[in-house]
Amino acid sequence: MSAEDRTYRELSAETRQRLQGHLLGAKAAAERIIARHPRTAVTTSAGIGGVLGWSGVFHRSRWPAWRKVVRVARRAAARL
Amino acid sequence: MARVAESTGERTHGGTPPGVEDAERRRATLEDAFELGEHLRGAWEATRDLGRLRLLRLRATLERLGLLAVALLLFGVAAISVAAAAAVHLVIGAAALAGRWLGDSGWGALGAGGGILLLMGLALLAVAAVRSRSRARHARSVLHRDAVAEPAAERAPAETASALGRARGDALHREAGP
Repeated sequence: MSAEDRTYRELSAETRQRLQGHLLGAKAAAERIIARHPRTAVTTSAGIGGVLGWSGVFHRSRWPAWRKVVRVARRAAARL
Repeated sequence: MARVAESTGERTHGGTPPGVEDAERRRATLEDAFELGEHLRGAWEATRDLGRLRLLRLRATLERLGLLAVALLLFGVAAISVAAAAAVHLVIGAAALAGRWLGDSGWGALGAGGGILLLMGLALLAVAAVRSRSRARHARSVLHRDAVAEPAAERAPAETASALGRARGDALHREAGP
């Protein structure tokens, strides 16, 4: 493995760790907010979901696209 | 928020007045929201850095392979296709003139083929001129560098694309911070 390959691997590993830390921190903060305001969280989620559903984002014709999104997200999460 | 807490009758700790607790909850929620925003920003920056790193590696790989080689390959493919088009024009024009069919179209096809060949020749001349000029500049710079007698150990790695990519990566890493 050449020097620049090693540098790239080290840098990308550090950056991935940084990303993972930020994602975990964001998740923890969101969980704290939800725990503090559960009813508001449910209402807000239902409202956003309702508007999205009304606009047709979750229509059956969009399911293949959502499957693709889920596949890409899973792959990205596995590569983290 | 306070109105929701009052109307829903959420829990109060001991003898703490509801207004004070609401203010504390609001402050804590605000802090959490700020933290969430900071984390989201950090995640976005980390994702961006990952993309930049990938681009840098791609560029370093291309430089190692030789961008000139890639460009020449592309140019060669384009030149072959244009030459094929010119040959087809010439053949069709010659056949048309020999068979006396298509009338003046034969001359037109011959002219088109000849024009394409002429343009190709001009393009090749231009590329050769640019290359010779850049080669002369490089030779001058090497002569100048040898004249000032820079240590070879210092100049050799600085010229390589890998060192360039590494330097960019380090700069990116420094920019990203802890």
